[in-house]
Amino acid sequence: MIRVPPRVRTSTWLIAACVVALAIAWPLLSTNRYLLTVATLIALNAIGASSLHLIIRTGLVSLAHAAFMGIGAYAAVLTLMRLHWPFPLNLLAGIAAPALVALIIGPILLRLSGKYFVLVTFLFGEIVRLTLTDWQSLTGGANGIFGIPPPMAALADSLSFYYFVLALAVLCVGLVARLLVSEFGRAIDALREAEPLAECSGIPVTRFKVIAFVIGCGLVGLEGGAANLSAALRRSDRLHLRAIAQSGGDERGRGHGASGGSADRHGVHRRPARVAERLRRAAAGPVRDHPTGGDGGHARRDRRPLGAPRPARYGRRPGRGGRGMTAPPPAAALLRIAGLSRQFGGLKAVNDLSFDVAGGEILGIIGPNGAGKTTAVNLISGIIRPSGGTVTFGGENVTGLAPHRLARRGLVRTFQATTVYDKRTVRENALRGAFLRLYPDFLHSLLGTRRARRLRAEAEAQVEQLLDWLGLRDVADSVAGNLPYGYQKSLGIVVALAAEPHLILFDEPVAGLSAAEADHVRDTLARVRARGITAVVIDHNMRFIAGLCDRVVVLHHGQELAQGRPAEVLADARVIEAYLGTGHGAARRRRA
Amino acid sequence: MLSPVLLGQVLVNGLSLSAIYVLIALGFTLLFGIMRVVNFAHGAFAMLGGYALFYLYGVFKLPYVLAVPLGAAIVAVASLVLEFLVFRWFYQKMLQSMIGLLGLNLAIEFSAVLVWDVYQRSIPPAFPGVIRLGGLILPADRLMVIGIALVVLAAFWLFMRRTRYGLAMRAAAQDVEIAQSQGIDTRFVYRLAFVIAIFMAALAGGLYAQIYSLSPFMGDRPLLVAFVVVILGGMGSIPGAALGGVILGFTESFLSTFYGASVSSFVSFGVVILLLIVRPWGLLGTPESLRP
Repeated sequence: MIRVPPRVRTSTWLIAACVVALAIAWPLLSTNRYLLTVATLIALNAIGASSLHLIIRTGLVSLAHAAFMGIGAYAAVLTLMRLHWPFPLNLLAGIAAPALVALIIGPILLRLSGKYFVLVTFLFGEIVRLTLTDWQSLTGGANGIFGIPPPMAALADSLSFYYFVLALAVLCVGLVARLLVSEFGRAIDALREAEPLAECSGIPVTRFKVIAFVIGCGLVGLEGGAANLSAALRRSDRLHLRAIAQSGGDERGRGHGASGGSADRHGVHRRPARVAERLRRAAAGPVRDHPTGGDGGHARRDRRPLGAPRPARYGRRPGRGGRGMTAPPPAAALLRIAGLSRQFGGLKAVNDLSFDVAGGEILGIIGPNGAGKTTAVNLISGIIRPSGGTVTFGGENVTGLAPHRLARRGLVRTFQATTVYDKRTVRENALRGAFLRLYPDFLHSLLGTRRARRLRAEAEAQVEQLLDWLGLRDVADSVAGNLPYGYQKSLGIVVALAAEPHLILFDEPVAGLSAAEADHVRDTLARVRARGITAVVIDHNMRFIAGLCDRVVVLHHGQELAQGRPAEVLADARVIEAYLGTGHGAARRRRA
Repeated sequence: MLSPVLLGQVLVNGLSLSAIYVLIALGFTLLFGIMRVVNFAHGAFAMLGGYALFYLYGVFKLPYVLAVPLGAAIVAVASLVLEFLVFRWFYQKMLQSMIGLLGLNLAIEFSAVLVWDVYQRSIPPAFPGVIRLGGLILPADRLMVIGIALVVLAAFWLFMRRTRYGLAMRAAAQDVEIAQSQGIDTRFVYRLAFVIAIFMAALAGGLYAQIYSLSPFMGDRPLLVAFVVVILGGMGSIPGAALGGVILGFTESFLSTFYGASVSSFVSFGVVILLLIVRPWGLLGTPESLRP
């Protein structure tokens, strides 16, 4: 019986209802002007706090939030006074202007890791403040703009203005709450907790962060715009807004205490994409992949048999379902690595690496420490960009694609270190791996439509099967971090499998495991292969690799040293030399 | 237009600004490099140094060369209370430190408002008048600022390079756990680094307050400067802080003389933001390692 606790407890609904009722009713009991002003400010702050909370939930602390409020405020007021836009329109301008700015700088800034993001937003806030102060002709400088007329006659009165702001606040807080509870929100949680893991399950990390950032900045612009409809414009007070952020999470009782610390630990700073390259990709059009109708991910027993003819074009056929995967690629040479290189300064970590992986086989990659195995895996799985060479998957050139795009094409990986989301249960971990199956699209996810619910149910069923198959049913409700290490490694494999991949890269799957646990993993991998999934396994452990893999590639100093069946490769004198030193290779040759 | 006299003044101005900026940035980068805290309250300590100088020199009329370091020392030692109450909870926790120390900054600034008032004061200049050097006319107080800053920086360099405790601090900056396992008392090193950092901030604050003016919020600008310099030079890199301070000081002096203060600020921030995007480890820092 699938027991997924409802995301919003009844008690939360009750509290929210009480708060709103109180907020509506209290002016009937008191006509205190001062209290009314304070209550209006509280409602306005609620907008700002919830919008900042949305941004912080992605794991990034934005210190530029007040700057966006200022942009929104000035946009709303200036469109009203200079361009004479009518009332609701100028407020919309107040939302659109900061959202637009966020959309422009977001994709660049949101690639930075946590601490640099904080610094950049801090400085950005200062720049905005300076700009607004110095651009006297536009903004009236430090003195501000006076004589802002009330937007509508109906809102001229403080009480009706309060109710107006209250309505806005309820809408905004409700929107943010709904977002965070939806599939989108769950994906945000995943990428906050372990970004590389999330991305390799198909979550488009940067895009989601940008969406959250843009919405958050737009909403705080609304606060700025609304706040200034009844007073002379003041220069936005950045200190004011930061103090709110702290109480923001508690105020709505929903925040899990945005773990900013873990965001910093897991934040990855990728080399920023060059603008031209990103423009080129954008011009090539968004890739919308849908699973084929018949490929329902329930039981992948009947995979395309080996040796079947390859389709003319690696198809992206539209179909029902979530943002799913593409058709199974041809069997021969599923993954082709050609001339792959990566340089770090003067060090060639990977140098002109070439090998093929046929569909359905298990390829091992071994090599002594520092041979470049981890770099090679990171290059293939899209974590870092190669300096040269190509990666071809299913006939398509996927060199340098981000991990989530590779996941959509059916290429996933497991991790050596952060294998699982350790604060979540086993079941939740697996469900996160099934992101591609269960995520409808933004709108459906936001509205919680029937389609969203259906996809989720399908994914849950699939995950149950998966957990059953790999013997994790008993611990399905345990928190992953509490499990023994061997179980966590198995869970990492489950997370990868949940994405219904065609090929899995296993990064040191038995590192740190006892012999018995390693045997268990080996059996699991054999069963994975029996399901038709291709595997590339990177490890040190010769015995493990020899017992499992069909073919082996040996790396040394970033280059391929030998390739072939395990028995041949491991008897190769050069390989022995690489592992044990020069004397031993010669001894081996003498004995042979 | 570019007469030697003007150039000379821009140069001296640039040098004195650089000196102050390097002092502020060094303290900031020390706190980051060793304890991994981003001291958002750094400007507040500079402000306290300004008030210390105001009282010691302006009110009690102590000799200038005594008042400057003494004021800074008083602020540094008194701040150990804050180290015990606030800072030590945030060591090695960068993101939490940012938020927490942001709050501390507010607390200190507004406590200053309560104790003193918001109005700007000025500290009487130490050496009014000018020095004529060849054909150049150079303000004497700026030269004094340069002199004091150079002495302090030299002392700092000697300490870090030539003493055991300096070595211990450098070791802790590279790797705290290894340093601990080698027998270095990191608690002591942290406190020492804190005192040195605040000393330099307060010293710089006093000099800054003399050049500009003193108010509870005067620290905002030095804080920004510290950020810009440290990011420019590389967070955690001491030579980087020095380089960044010099670059910023001269750039500001030049730009604000010929183009105005706003342009100068705009350019500095703009360049730093670009740098953060393209090369976040700054000019002399080390790149962040990518995580698999």
